[in-house]
Amino acid sequence: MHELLFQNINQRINLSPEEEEKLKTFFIPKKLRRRQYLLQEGEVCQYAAFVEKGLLRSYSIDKKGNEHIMQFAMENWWISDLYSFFSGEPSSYMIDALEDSELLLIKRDRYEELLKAIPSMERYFRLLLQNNLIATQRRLNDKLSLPAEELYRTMIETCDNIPQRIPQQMIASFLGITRETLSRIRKKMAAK
Amino acid sequence: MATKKTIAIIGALEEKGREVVQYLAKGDYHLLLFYKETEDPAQKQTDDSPEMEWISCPVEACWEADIVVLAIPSEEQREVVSGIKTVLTGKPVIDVSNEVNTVKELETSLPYSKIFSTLPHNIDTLIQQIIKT
Repeated sequence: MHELLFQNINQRINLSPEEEEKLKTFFIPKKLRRRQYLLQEGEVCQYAAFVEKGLLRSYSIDKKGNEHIMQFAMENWWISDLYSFFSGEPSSYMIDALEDSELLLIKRDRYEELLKAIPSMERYFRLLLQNNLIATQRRLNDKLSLPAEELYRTMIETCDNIPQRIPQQMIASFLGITRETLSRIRKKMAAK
Repeated sequence: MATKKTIAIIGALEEKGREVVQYLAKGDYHLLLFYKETEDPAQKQTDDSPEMEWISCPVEACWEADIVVLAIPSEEQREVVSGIKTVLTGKPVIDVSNEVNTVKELETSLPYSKIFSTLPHNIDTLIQQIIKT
């Protein structure tokens, strides 16, 4: 149940077998069915979730009812609304499962306790947040400066097999383009 | 809009289990019901409610649940709990047996869960308190 999480952590820091056993006691095992929510708009985000199996997304809905996908999270990825998680303010996002999923959840107060109990986890989470910041800046810069075709190509290169696991409309929503534009890009790329 | 909580009721056909189901069925929850694997399926009626379903494995029910209610006789408790222990870490576990020894034993066997005790007619109030904290 915790193998993938340990693998992920041990790529960045070294945990002893005793620390691994201790670490297990901080995470809540949770199964989520497809279309079930982990978080809804207006709630305080209670958890950071590590995906052991399945696929989730975080998204917002604008006043016209359009969905804007912020992030996908497949196996070995983390997902949360960090602003709400750390500030305790209500979230503007929703997180739901796109596939039946198995998660390991950590609550805000347990997160603080974990950092005290296993101090090397501070470095692990710092590296995660650092990578998250870099990825967010890169995505923002790409969105501002790249044409739609390049955005799509970047997504295919950086998101592993996620594009094969989700409908076209979600790819378009993630890239901030229309379905028609995405369809045109795919036809053009297939013709090359 | 609040995310609907999933509640597993282990021992849902026991006397207190039936009462718990009756009280929680009125609330806005997703209920996962489990009773002994050997039980006659005909007894397991749920009025086709999409928010209430029978699950054939207690581990699966508790793994999916946010909150777990134990409505099992005290003599069966040790065996049942040892089977579901790994998926209860960090979760609220509510005992409805109203026996002091049962609660103490649960606190010992589930050190990483939060143990609560109540009677079936107070179950909804307790769950609402747990959700708020």
